[in-house]
Amino acid sequence: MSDRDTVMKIPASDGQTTHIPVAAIALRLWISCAVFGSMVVFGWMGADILRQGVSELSWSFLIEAPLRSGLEGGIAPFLVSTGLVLTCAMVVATPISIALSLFLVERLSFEGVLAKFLRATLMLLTGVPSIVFGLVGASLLGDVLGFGASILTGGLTLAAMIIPTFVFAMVEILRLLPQQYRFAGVALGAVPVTVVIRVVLRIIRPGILGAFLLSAGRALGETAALIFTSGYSDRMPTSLFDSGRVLSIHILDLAMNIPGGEPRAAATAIALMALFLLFSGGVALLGTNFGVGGTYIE
Amino acid sequence: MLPSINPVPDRKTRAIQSAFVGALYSSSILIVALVAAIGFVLILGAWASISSHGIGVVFVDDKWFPSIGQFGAAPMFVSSMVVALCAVLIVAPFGIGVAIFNHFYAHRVIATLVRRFLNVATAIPSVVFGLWGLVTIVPLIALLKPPGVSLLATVLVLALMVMPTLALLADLTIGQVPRAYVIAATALGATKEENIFLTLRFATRGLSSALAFSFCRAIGETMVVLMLSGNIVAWPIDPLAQIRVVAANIALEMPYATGEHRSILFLGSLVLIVFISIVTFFGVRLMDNKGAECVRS
Repeated sequence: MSDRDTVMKIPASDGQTTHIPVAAIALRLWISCAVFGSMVVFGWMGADILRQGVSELSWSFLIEAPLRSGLEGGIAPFLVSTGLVLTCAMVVATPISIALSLFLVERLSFEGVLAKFLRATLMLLTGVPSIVFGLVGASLLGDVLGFGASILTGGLTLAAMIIPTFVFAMVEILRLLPQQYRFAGVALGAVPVTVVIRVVLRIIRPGILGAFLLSAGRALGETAALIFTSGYSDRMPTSLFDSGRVLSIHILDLAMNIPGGEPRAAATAIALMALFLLFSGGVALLGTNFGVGGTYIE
Repeated sequence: MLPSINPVPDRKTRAIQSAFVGALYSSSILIVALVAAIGFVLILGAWASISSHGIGVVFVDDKWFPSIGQFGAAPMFVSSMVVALCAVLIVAPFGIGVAIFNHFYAHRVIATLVRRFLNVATAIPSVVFGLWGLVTIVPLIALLKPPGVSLLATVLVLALMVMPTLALLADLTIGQVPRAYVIAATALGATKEENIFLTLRFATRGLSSALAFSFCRAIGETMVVLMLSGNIVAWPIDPLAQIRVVAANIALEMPYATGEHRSILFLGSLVLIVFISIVTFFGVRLMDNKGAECVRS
């Protein structure tokens, strides 16, 4: 029971309650409309997608190649492409994001202008629309470096996109770690770098996993950044330099370009959401403090 | 359990340490370079049109016919703005309402559940929202006036998409209002409703910054708008008519655009980024000053 709960239960004096009933009723009406309205619309959306797509779902839908632009067959190549693009992005983004978050939080003797600048840069990067990432990725990686529309181009573009998410999640987790751990390390005579490598990084391991899953979940559903970068091809990719269509682009294609493709699009959306819930289920298992704050004994 | 730490590191340990510090340094320089590269690519791409027409090129021509060299993109910029603004205005009472519910009415367990749901909902792929709009909202609007893909459909689905982001940010902001104020007000005899109004007054700046961030999310959104707006270049006047926004325009025309046409698309995204950066900058400023404002009032 928090402080606020107890405070709220104290009855107000009579003089105060008599002249506000209209405002109070309006307020309650507003709050209940907001909560129930949102619940109903999100529930409606979920039910609709399930109703449309669930009849198309089957084991063969997951393991077969698509036929007739996806109206028959399955989504196997798109699952593989999604996995490859995601792996590519996470392999690049993970070490960079961990390094950046340590740089921002741990103050290893070089705090200052660069850190401030870096924070502003990350804010700027979060604001860039995903379609612009796609545009820049396609012309920089695709045309100038010559990777073309390939899984590698898509993965690298996606990496640049999720680094801010990953870093801000990591920063939260590093702030959750009680200072006493660092003090104890320094008190034992270790330099701050040693404390970071041997104490901080060890304790926040579950937190790193949490931030990883969180940003991987975000990256999973990305569409606009991948249209020009990872491409549209519906064949099974054979190398990182192959073009491969990810699940979200398959949904877009079925919904927009293929007449009668909606049930198939909904089925693909269910598969995508199931994958995503797997990731966020992992985050939920780690708890709100990612197993970081709880180990400290006062 | 503390790891064993040698107070005087040997040469090998020190080498590892400096390599570690070097890696942290270089990764942060890499990110700064990445942003510089993004800016450079966009400016370089847009240079052809800026140098031949000046930055106002998109507002000069009155029609968008890129094949014959007419680049009047003003309706698209206005549409972007209108769509995002309407979506945020529609969703504001819902998002803030849910945040108040979390803090003042919901049981702690329920509030945690709601927050967890909102966290998951922020990451629902936008293409799924677009798909739902296409199979559900568009047919409903088509009953009013075919074909149904319209400004209205876009705004409604965009509002739904932005709602979890706004609710979470508002929730965070309301949580930052010092609890002492509510306790003091209650001691003076304030009811729960009066406490809510008080909290909202103190959270005004934070809530405006939450609205600004949601606006940024809405204006950069591509997929929902691409799927639901009909993509016909027009001024956003009739809510049941079709429109096209800047971000969707890039997605539509990039695959075949060449020369000056391509350059205009780069210019469009440059303008979009500059605009979003300005809004974000003011959003951050509003957020930073919140503490000061609480003390002043």
